[in-house]
Amino acid sequence: MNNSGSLVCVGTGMMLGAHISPRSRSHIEQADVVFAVVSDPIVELWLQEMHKDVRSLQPFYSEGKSRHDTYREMVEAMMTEVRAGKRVCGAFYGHPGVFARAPHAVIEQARTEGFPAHMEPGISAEDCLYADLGIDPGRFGCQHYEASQFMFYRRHIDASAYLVLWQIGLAGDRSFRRYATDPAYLELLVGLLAENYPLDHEVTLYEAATLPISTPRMQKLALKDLPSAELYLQSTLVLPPCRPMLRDQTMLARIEELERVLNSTSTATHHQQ
Amino acid sequence: MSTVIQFLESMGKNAALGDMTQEQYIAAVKALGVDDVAKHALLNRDPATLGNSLGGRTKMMMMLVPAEDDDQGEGKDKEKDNDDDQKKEEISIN
Repeated sequence: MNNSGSLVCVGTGMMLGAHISPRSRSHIEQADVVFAVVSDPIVELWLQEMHKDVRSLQPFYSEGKSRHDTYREMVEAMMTEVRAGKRVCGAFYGHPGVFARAPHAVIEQARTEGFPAHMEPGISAEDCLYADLGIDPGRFGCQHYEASQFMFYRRHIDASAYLVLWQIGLAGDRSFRRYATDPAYLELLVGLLAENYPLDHEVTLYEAATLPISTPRMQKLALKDLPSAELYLQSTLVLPPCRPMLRDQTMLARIEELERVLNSTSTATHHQQ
Repeated sequence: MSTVIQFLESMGKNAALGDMTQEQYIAAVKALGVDDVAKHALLNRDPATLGNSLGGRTKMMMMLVPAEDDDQGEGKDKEKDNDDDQKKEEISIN
């Protein structure tokens, strides 16, 4: 094994020029080889101007090919160069560790083989969503799921918090080989969501802007109209709360009792002194 | 760095450029001296045409996370259950 190899996965942020951190940029510029997955062709060209050896991981995607294989091949491509003793940088759009399998997997693999590897955060689509839609996830709480996973597994939805479904444009895909969904799958999803939300609940389709000449998509629509909406790979569905938060009177009473005990203990200690 | 990408990077980095009025934006684009296709794509804020004019990919894939691991899923769960049952049988036989 050649021990001089190393790996860093960095986030380029969402918008060209606006979001990349100085540290991530320096990792890209100082690497021996850069592998890239970004969400916009012009962002890819921008990266190629930062370094003479930027290798796009786009060719690993293919219609009809399992994305599990795609992610494995991405990891192997990066590891081949790490094992060859290169300083490797994986540049991923947004945050490299948020809704991203390959960056976590390649870092784990590199560390398993004894190579230094770490991740530098980036400004994610989630960060842009909060800014553009004026949502503070701390106000009512916020649940995030990958849309298909949300359909495949039973979840306890709290309709008094925000619900954000990522990769809605692939909702219901069990094959991991398709790059679009069908309105029939979205009808199923709407039916699932209708267990907790009224069909006329106003939801938002969101897409972050990737160029400074673009604007984010923030399309409001009724939940029932989702199947006829135009969806893309980068589309995200945001459901605001549809009912108020319910106070937990039992827990509040227990907290009050605890405070009473702590206060009486504190008072007794004070008197002893 | 190409003039167009340098311009976009400046707009991304510099709040003043990012907040240009439409008139200022048109003047800035015209001052770039880029070819007509890129100029019109910039003026129309048309990323697809702009990307093509720069030689970018026509299609980008950006899904980075699968809904479940490749050892998860209904079929895999059943296989796993069967494996577990088999292991239990082997243990009871032994």
